[in-house]
Amino acid sequence: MTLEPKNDGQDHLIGLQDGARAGDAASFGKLIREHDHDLRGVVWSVVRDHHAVDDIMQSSYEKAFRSIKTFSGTSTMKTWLHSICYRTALDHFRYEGRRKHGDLENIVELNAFAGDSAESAAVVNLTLSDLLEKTDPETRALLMMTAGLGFSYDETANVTGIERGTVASKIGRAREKLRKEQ
Amino acid sequence: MNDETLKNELLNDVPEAGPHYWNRIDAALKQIEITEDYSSVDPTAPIANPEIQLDPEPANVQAQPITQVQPVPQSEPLQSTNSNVAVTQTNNSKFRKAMFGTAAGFVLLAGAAFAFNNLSTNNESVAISASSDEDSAAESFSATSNNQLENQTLNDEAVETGAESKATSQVTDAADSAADDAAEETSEPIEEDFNLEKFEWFNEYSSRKSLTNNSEITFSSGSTIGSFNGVISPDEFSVYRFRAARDQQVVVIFSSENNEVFSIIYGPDGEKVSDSNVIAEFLLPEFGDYYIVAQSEVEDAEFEASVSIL
Repeated sequence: MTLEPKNDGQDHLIGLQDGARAGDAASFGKLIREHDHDLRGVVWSVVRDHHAVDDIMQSSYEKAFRSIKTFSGTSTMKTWLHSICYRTALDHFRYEGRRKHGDLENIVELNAFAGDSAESAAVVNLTLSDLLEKTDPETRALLMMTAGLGFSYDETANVTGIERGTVASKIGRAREKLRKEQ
Repeated sequence: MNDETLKNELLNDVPEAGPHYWNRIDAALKQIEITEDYSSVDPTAPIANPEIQLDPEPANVQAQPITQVQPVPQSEPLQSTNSNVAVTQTNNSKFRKAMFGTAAGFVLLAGAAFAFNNLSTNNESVAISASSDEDSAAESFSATSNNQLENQTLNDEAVETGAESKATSQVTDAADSAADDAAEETSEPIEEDFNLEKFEWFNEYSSRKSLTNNSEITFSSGSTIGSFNGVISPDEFSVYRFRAARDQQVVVIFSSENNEVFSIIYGPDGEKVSDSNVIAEFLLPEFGDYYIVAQSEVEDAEFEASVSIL
């Protein structure tokens, strides 16, 4: 069965998808190379751990290839792969990441200790990178997909399994917060 | 903060892949056979409660925190200073056995105390008659303990001792004996023996090459892949140890330029489980420590390796 990529229109992916579904590791390998940069971005946005990214990518690809028969074609291969990587990264983070990453409230609290007064914390100029670092991983991934990789809200909702409306409101709130804190 | 700034900030930090990243992935993919069995598994489905998926005493992976390699001094065999920790981390079945043994010990001690109290009150002899009404409670206590032990088939010696005492109705003796056994069971630490010199293969390598690394591979919670890297020359060998349970499928992949670094894997009994190769896939025959011996054909060969437990 030939699966047409729905949105990207890249014909050369069709053959690779067919090959991968037939169990051809080489085809699957080529296929994931097409998406690796973006997928890596999503994984990175969740875990923010240089050492873990490669392992999570490998784990996700193995998982995807083992389950290639479950790819029904109702979504694009891109969405399907992003979904696997996102969930694998999130699972990893749930076990390993929480002790390393806080949220925006935490950094303001820390700065209150560091500064002369509570007011000084409010005027500390945090870089965008600092703020992203302290944003919760789910929101960071939503920002990565939409602002970084140009996904639509619908695509982001499909990848994350979060309702479209919730995606929109989370991104809106996060952007607002970033603007205020910066 | 405009959209472009945010986009750049998000994408600029994304780390580059490691030098052997694609080698590793391609090698891992080649090991996978696509079957229809996987058609029921949806990897995109959210995990309802991921906490439940992690067994606190994992049967599969001896889950120790992340993917890091911890050096183990070669000259000094490692031994845990805490017997409880050693029990929980080394062997789940032994841990359970010891815990049930302890529980049985407490139960029997309680029975003995109960019986002793009766004896003191009634000034009877130590040998308690099974037909005595006053002693029946103590005896049934002991019998219950025996049944528990038998049902759980945990401590053969304790059961045997309990059975003997039941036959002679020496309740206190039985309790003492079982308690002693239980105490012996729990007080004796299960030692972790990392002394490689006990293995023939290690001595054989040592006679020809110098050991440059003796490390333990640990796995992050919820992760089944451990990776490590290093540099090795032909006159050297490195040993990486990982612990896993029986019947687990393991894939060990060594990635290096021109595949010049390869591994041989030995099991807990010192027998070779995988011959020299850059990719090894095998079913673990038993629970225990497995040893990956890395060697190289060229000087200062850099490598990355991963151990996946499927």
